[in-house]
Amino acid sequence: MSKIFLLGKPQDVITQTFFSLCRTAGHQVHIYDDIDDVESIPEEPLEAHELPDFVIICHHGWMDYHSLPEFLEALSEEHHPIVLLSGISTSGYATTYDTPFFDREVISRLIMYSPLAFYQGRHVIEFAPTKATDPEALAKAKNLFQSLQVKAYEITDTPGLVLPRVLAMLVNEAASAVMEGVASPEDIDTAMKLGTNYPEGPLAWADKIGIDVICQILDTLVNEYFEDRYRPVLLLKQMAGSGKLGVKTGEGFYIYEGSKTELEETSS
Amino acid sequence: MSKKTDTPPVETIKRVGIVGAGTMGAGIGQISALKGFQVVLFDIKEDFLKRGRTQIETSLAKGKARGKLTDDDLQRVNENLITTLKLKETAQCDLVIEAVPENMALKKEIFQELDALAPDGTILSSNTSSLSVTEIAGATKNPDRIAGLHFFNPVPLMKLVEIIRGERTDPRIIETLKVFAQAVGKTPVIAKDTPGFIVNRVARPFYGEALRLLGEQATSHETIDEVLKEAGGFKMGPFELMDLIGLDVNFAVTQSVYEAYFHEPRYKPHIIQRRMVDAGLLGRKTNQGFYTYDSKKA
Repeated sequence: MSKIFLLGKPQDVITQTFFSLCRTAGHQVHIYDDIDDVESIPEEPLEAHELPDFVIICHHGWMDYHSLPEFLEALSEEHHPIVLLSGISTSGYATTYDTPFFDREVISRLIMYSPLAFYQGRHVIEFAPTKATDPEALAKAKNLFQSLQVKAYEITDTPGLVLPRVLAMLVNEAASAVMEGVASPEDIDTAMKLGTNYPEGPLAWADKIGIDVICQILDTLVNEYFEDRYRPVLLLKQMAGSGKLGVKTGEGFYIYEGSKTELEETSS
Repeated sequence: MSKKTDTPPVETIKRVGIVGAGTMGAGIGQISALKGFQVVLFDIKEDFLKRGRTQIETSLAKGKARGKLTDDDLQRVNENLITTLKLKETAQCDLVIEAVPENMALKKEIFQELDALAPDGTILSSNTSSLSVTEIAGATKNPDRIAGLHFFNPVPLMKLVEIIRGERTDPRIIETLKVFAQAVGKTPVIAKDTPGFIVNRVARPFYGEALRLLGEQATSHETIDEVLKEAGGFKMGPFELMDLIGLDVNFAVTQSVYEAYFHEPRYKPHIIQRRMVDAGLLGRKTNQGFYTYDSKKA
């Protein structure tokens, strides 16, 4: 049995999936919702027996967690948890040479991963050690994946890993076709499902994952490669900027009735 | 001089002329005849027509063996489909579908001939997957009666038809083609005439990003395929698909979209594609692409 801290919104698919996988595997699991919210950070230093073996950062936009480095450092003083970082929004950023987000101690126990498959109910993840990850930490992470009964694929640390990168670019292309009036979102999704057997239309898929998350993946690719190829098309940025994030806000490329939850919560 | 006519385009399709009895032309002829349309299949040589007929017979026999088609179905196709070496006979239909090789000069020539031969109301369409319908139509006197009608291979199995609206296509034709596509059991989608239309454009990153990941040695092609299938739910991985489509064909489509969009970086081909094409590693058809195939099975 391991002790696991999940950092993410409790209503998010990723947090929920990890929570139930951890419970099923018999791990002790605790969710930290918002660590920038002072109240959720443990005031008293945690007792040794309370310290986690793993910290899984479920939230894709973890760069928004300004206190994340302090949070991890606070946990790490005596005990050294292995940190799994959702690598779909950033990857090299965590280990970048000029402005490191984490100190070297944390980076040696850092593993990037992508939980994108959870959105489709598939218990599959991709993961990648950084160039500085300690082999022992990597071995422990692999054991964790095994205990959670997820199919885990190890790849080299690459911006966006495999599925997030390929999918975000499919969405970007489909969005550019919408923006240019090539076809309607419905016809684009139908065409990709029937013409080339995709499991879902890229635009409906993007709505499920979140337009903001798709933009984050593309931003990462732009930042890491400095290539025009990866720039998110204007339509995606405008949708993300105006809260049309997909299923979770009730509207993205499609309208979703009765699911306006997160937007109302965040705007209230 | 433009041949201005007041004859509106045909609204109800009964007779379908098909130009080219290759894989696509024969497939379109087969499903049209099966659904009760009168089909006139044209090619320039008796041999080509014979090959088209053989393809249809083989496909129908398979359908019958699987219990999907009856003897009545086979008989109906036989009765409804005739072949001809005279383009004029094919042009005397309500709808003509051109399915010749993807060569712009050839297509322009054929459409000029069809435009001159076909009665005023006849709709002329091209099954092109990568060429501009607007450019083809621009070579004729009546570009308003020309549209794209892109079926997918193998025609009897693939449900999709892309209907392509050229710059000067009469909107009424689009509606008629939609009804026709549904009548032959397909799901139509409508796309503006842009490089790659919908499928061949939106699918580009599936191959392009996979090739880049491989090029950067993020992992092996097997793992990329497996991750996309297991994590993404794709039925086939990009490398398996490139092998199936043919690396030469896939490379050519990538290049054509890249060129047509004036070198937009998203569509940039990858050096791996070129090397493999140069090496003759074209996929299943050469028994070796990203994967190796058993020659006895292939």
